[in-house]
Amino acid sequence: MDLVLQLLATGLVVGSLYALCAIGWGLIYGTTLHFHVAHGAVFALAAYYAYAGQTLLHLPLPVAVVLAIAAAALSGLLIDLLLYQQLERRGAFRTSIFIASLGLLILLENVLAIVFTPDPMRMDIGALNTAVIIGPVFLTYLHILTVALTIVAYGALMLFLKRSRWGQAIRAVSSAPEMARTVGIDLKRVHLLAYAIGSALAAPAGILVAMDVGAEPFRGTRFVLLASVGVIMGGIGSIPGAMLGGVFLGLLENLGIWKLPSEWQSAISFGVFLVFIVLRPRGFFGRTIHSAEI
Amino acid sequence: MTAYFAHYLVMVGIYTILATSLNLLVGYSGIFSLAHAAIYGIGAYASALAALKLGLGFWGGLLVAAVVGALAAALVAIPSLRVAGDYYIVASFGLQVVILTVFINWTSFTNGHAGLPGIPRPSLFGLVIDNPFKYVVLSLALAAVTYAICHRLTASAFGRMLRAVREDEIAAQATGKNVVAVKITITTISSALGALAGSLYAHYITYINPTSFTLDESIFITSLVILGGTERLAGPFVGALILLAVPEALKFLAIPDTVAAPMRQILYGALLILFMFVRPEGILGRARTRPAA
Repeated sequence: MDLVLQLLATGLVVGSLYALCAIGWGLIYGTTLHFHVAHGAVFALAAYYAYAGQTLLHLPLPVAVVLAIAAAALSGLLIDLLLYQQLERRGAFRTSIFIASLGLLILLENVLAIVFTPDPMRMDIGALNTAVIIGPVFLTYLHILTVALTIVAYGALMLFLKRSRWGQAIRAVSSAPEMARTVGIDLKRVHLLAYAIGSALAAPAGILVAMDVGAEPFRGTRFVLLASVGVIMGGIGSIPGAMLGGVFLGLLENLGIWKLPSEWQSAISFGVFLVFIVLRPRGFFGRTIHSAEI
Repeated sequence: MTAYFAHYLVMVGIYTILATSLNLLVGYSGIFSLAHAAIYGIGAYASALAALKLGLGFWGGLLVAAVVGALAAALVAIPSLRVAGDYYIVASFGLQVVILTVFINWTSFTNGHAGLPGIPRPSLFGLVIDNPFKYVVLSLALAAVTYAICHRLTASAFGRMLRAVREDEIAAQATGKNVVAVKITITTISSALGALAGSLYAHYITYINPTSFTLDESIFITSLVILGGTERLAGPFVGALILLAVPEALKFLAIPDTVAAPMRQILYGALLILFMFVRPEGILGRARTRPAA
C-alpha cells in the first residue's frame, strides 16, 4: 500500500508536467490546427535558457526562470511568425507545416546537443531539493511546487480564456475560424497569441524537469508526443480535457509499474492510448473528429 | 567497384525499399507514419528469429517478415485510421515506442540490447550470397521488385482511389468508396513491403540490435521520401542515393563523432524545413495544385 501511495504521488507530479505540456500544446492545436511537434524544442529551449541564465549569466534562480519563460514564449511566437505563417502564406498544406515543425524539432534539439553536450546539465536549486516526507510518501519541495504551479497555471489559463477579450478571441477562432474572421478577428494575431501562451506553459514544465534531473536536449520529443496523446484522450479543443489527459498519463505510467516491470513504462501509455481511441475516439470531453471532417 | 562502394549500394537498395513503401502512405495517401523504423525492425527480427529458431531460409524469413509487419501495422491502423489523420501520427509514434520497448525488453526472444548475432547469409539456388558484391544484386533486385509492385499499385484503379482519398475524403466517400478500408489496406501493404527491407538488412549485416530501429531512423526514412519527392515513385531512390552519401562525405571532413552525428541530424532537419519552402513536392516531384489561400 505504501508503494501505491508513493507511485500515486510521483504520478501526480509527472502528470502535472505532462498536463502543462498538454494544455499548451492543446491550446495551440485547437486554435491553429498545426501539429506543432516543435513544441518539444521550446520545452528543451526553456530548460537551457534557465540553465544558461543561472550558470552563465549568474542570475538568481527566480529571475533566470522568469526570463526563461518569457524567452520561451517569444521563441514559440517566432516559430509561428517566421516559419508556419510564411509557409501558410505560400499556401502550404497542413502536412507541410507538420514536416517543417518536425525538421525544426530535430534541428534545435541537435543544436542544443552540440552546444551543451547531450549530457544532463544540472542546475543549483538550493532548498527546493529538500525532502518532504508525508507518511510513507517521499517528495521534494520542487515536486510540490510542480503540482501547485500546474494548478495555478491551469486556473489562470481558464480565467484568461473565459474572461478576457483576447481569451474569447482564441476560443472563437478555435471553435469557428471562418466565423471569427467574419466578425473581424485577426486570425494571425490570435495564432501568435496562442503560440506565446502555449509556449509559456511548456516552459515551466521544461524548467521544472531540468531543475529536478538536469536539462537534456532530446527529452522534449517524448513530452510533446505524450502531450498530444493527452490532448486526444482529453478531447481535442478542450483545455480541461488536456489537463485531465496529462495527469491521467502521469498516473497511468507510474501506477503501471506497480504491476509491471518498470522498463515497460513507456509502452504502457501508448498501449492504453491505442485501446482508448477505439473505445472513445472523441476523448473524455471533446468533439468527435471523424476522418472525413478535416 | 570497391567493397566500400558495394556496401553503399546495398544500403541504397534497402533504404529505397523502405522509402518507396513509406511513400505509399506519405505521398500517395496523405497518411503520416512515424513507425516505419519499427516496421523495418519487425521485419528484421521476424526473419532473424525465423532463421535462428526455426531454421527457415532467407526466402521463408522474407515471407514471415512481410506477414508479421503487415499484422503489426494493421493492429494500429484499424483503430486509428477510423478517426482523423493526425491521430495516426500519434498512434504510429506510439507503435514505434512500444515496438522498440519490446525489442529492448523481451530479452528471452530478442536478446535485448545485446541483439541477435549469427544470422545466416541468404542463398539463391545453392549460391550463397556472402559478400557485398553479390548482395548488391540481391538488394537492388528486391528494390526493383518493390518499385514494380508500388508502380502497379499506384497506376491501378486502387491508386487513383488513394489519391482521391488524399485530396478529398468527403468527396471520395460520397462516390461510395470505403475510405477507411482503403487507408487500412494501403497501410498494411506499405508495412509488408517495409518489413522486407528489415529482412534484407538482417541477413546482410548478420547481426541486429534495437539501435537500428529507433525514432531517429523513422524520421530519416521520412526525410528520404520528402527530399526525393512524394508522389513520384523514383523519388525515394534519389533521396536514398543522396542522403546515404551525406554521412560518407562527412567522414572526409575531420569532425569528431560526437559532433558528426548531431551535425547530420541538423542537416536533415534543415533540409526538411528548406524543402517545405522551396520544393514541397521534393526533388523529382510534380507540383500539386495548391488550395486557394
